[in-house]
Amino acid sequence: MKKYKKHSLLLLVLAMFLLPFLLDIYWLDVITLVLFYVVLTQGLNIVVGYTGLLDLGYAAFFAVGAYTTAILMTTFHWSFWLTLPVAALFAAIAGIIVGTPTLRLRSDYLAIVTLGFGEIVRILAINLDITGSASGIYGIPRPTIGSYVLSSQQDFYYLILIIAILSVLVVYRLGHSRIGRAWVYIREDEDAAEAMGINRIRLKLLSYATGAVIGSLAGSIFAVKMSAIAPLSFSFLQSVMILLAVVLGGLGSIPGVVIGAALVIVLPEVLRGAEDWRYLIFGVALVIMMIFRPQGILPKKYETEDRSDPEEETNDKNHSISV
Amino acid sequence: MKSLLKLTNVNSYYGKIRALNNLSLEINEGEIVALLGSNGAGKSTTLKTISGLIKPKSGEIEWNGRSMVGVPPHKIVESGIIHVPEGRRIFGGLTITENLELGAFTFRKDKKWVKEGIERSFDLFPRLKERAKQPAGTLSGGEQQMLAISRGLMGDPKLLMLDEPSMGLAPIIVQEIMRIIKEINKQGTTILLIEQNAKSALRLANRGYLIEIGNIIMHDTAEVLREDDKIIKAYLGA
Repeated sequence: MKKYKKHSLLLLVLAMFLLPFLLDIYWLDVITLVLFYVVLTQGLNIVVGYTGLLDLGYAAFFAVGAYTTAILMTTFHWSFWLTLPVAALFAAIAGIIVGTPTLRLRSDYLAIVTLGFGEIVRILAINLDITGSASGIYGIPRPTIGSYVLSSQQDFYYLILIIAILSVLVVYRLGHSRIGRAWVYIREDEDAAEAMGINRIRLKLLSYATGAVIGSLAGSIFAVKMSAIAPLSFSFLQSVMILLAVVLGGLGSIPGVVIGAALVIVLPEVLRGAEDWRYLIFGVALVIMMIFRPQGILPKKYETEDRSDPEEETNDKNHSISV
Repeated sequence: MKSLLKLTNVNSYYGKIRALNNLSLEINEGEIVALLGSNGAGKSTTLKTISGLIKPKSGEIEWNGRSMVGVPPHKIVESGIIHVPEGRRIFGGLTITENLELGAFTFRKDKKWVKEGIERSFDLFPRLKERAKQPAGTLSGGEQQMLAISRGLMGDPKLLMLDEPSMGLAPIIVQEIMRIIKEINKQGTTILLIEQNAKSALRLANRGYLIEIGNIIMHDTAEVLREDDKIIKAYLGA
């Protein structure tokens, strides 16, 4: 069974690499956008899915990555590849900045602070000269590998595909590490986790910072792919859509979140024929989904607490009586 | 007997409300000490203060001769004080094995210790072994308490602090839990026990402290406390 799963995963990756030969430019662009969302949702999955911290301003980290790369490449003429670690560093710092004041906050309060942070970043981008104010930054150069210039739709598809695969691998490995387990313990019961020797503060900040770094990677690539960026791309709606993909797919579940990312992007495109109605249909579909399958499309397996089989529940009752 | 933990004139607050009022107590190595008192007297606050979840405003906490005031909770756990919180607080969505692994969190990369610890827990509570891969939320109340105690033991405590381990359990299970606490103590772990069930606590303990409005109002050996009029009237029933 496990071997079968591994093979089908490899097949999927292979298919993803062959996709540009099969699709027209329009659908390739849609799938490229899906892959951006895969990276973004993996990053947010660490914060919201693993650690259980609601974040309504995640697009801010996407913006930090995009703007850092754009500014370094246009104003300072850096190579694209060198901007990546700097963007990641700035994003990590931004993650810690938003993380620190929220350490003692939970649920709705946390949502408000992260929402505010997202808006601060967007409004800064509109008002600062270095970020090109409302019109943004344009004429971002194309990245090069040796003498080859990445410029076609296919080039960027492959670039983001590789980053998407890497981010899935990293998030998977992290989830199965000691750190990943500690995040889950914090999500499940913060006080009990602390009483068992988990350094709550450090691990929460690490969660924010790791999520931010992954988001910034998507941002950096977004900047060179679009060759122009503007504050509009990093709105509150963007944060909500990323969060939506995570929740829709299944919090904490990697395959679920990938499917969520695909749905959030592809569904509105498929519904394009319905013109103005498409967002209404999309919205209704989401509401129905949340009513009938609130745990997401492919939820993480061990989160069985709220939906244990009837059999298990009767067992439980028997035990509490006999015990 | 060697003094292991010593609290001197500790004052702890929840916001502006004083929960511990110049509280002093001492625990010697190898003892079982019971902390008795009514709801809201400050029993749980005392444990939370010792484990660093609440920082005392003033006073001294000495652990093995070292001051523990202001030491972060994860460092306190590493030093061997482990707190099994009230209401068990197990991770219902995680399996029993995963819950136990958490208990050994401070042991970082020592996989052998983790494995042996899990085996030891299963020896102590065979019932847990049968259900190792099940979500802990499917366990009965008594089994969850056993899991909570095992999880505490995974961290190799010198002092194990148990907050109301008998809460909400059937009398026969309470007896079982008490027997196991005694057993853990025999194997060398010092125990600080909070109990509303004063009768069984005083049967188990060497010494007891009676706490009222954040202050220790009486302390003595368990035998003396068992015979004390005030204790009998208030906690043991006439």
